[in-house]
Amino acid sequence: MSSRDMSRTPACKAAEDALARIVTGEADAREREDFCAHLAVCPRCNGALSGVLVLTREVRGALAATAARFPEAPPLALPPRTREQAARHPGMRTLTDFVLLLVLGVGLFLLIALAFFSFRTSVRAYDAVRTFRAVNATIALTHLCDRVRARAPEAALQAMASRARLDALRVLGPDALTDPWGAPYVIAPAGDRLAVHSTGPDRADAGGAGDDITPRSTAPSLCTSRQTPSHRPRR
Amino acid sequence: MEEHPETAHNPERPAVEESARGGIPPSPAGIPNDGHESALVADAIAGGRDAFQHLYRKYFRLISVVIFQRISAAADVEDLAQETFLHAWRGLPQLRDPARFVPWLLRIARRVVTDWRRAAARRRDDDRRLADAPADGGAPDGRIAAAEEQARMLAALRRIPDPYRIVLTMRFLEDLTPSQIALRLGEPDGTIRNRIFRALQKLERVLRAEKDWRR
Repeated sequence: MSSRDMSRTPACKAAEDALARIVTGEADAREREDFCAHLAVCPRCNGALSGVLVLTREVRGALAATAARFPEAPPLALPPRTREQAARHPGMRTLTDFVLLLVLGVGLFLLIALAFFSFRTSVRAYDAVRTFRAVNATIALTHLCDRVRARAPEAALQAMASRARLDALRVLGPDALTDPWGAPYVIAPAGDRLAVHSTGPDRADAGGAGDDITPRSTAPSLCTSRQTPSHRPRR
Repeated sequence: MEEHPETAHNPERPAVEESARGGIPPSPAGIPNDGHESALVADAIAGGRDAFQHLYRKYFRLISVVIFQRISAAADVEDLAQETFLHAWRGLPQLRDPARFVPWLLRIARRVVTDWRRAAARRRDDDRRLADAPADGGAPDGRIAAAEEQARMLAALRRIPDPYRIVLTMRFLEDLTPSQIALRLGEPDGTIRNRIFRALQKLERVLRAEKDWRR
């Protein structure tokens, strides 16, 4: 039915509300009489609303016919409850709840522990990769410094360092002079040559000692469980 | 609610007469209230046989009809209903909330029917048996049309989802109001009220689709 229907009067609206209450069984006798009286004089509502009543009557009839097949409950012999069934209430239930909570708690703990160890392993692996990159970079920069020194052995070491930096930027790229922790590589005179090192994770220059990374530093292994066995040819 | 095609306005036979004869359900006055049901269930949980027998007699018809709506073999319905109550009797100590007895019982009935279907699928004569089922309890000649109409409605009821079918059964078989159904199923009044109307709409759609298909 359309809300724009011009023939719809307040009585029609009341009839629709009454129908809803009749369907749910909440209408009183007066409401039902008013509804019937309205349907008798209003062809529009008679056509639109009576279908619902017919449908509910048919549902009622079909359910009543179904229920008529099962007129009354036959006698039911109840077996004695076993001790186990009876004991489930309430003690067994409490025990079941406790075991369930315990299993859930242990599961949650294992999950958190697994997440923690995974995170720690990831952090360690990332640090190892950064150290490895720093060692390789210091080796490359040392090699560049040696080449600069070989080209102009008479130049001052500070000038050589500047030249080596420029070569590094040109050959290795714009990030060549910054270590994985964001600090610049240190290129400083050491005796009659240039030495290169990274200030390491703490970014504090210890002159190549402490956590500083030099070309001779050992990059940590990413495979901590076991070493790769050396290959021995069969005799 | 849309108008049912079969019940369109006919000036020669006003629908209001039909309504006056039987379309409008009786007043809900006199419906037993559920005040003591939780106490009965609690008594049955504690092992009270009389309390459980009372619940059995009270809900046997509802459970039988709900089971019949899910299977076609009327001969097995009574056994399955009894089996449902026997399961309920054994499992009652596990029921935590006595107020949830009816939805719990309906879940048991659904499980019993599922088990029965699995067992029936294994039986060789299952197909023949199911095919013969509609002839079960055949109507006398004079009532064939009414029986066909009821069979058509029953088939339509079987095609709407369980929650809708159950509220319609509780409303139109047990004559319960939405509040009483809500109390038994442990759901809000408004939900049940809406579900009744939506169930009727779904039923009407199924009936209309079936009628269109037959044309």
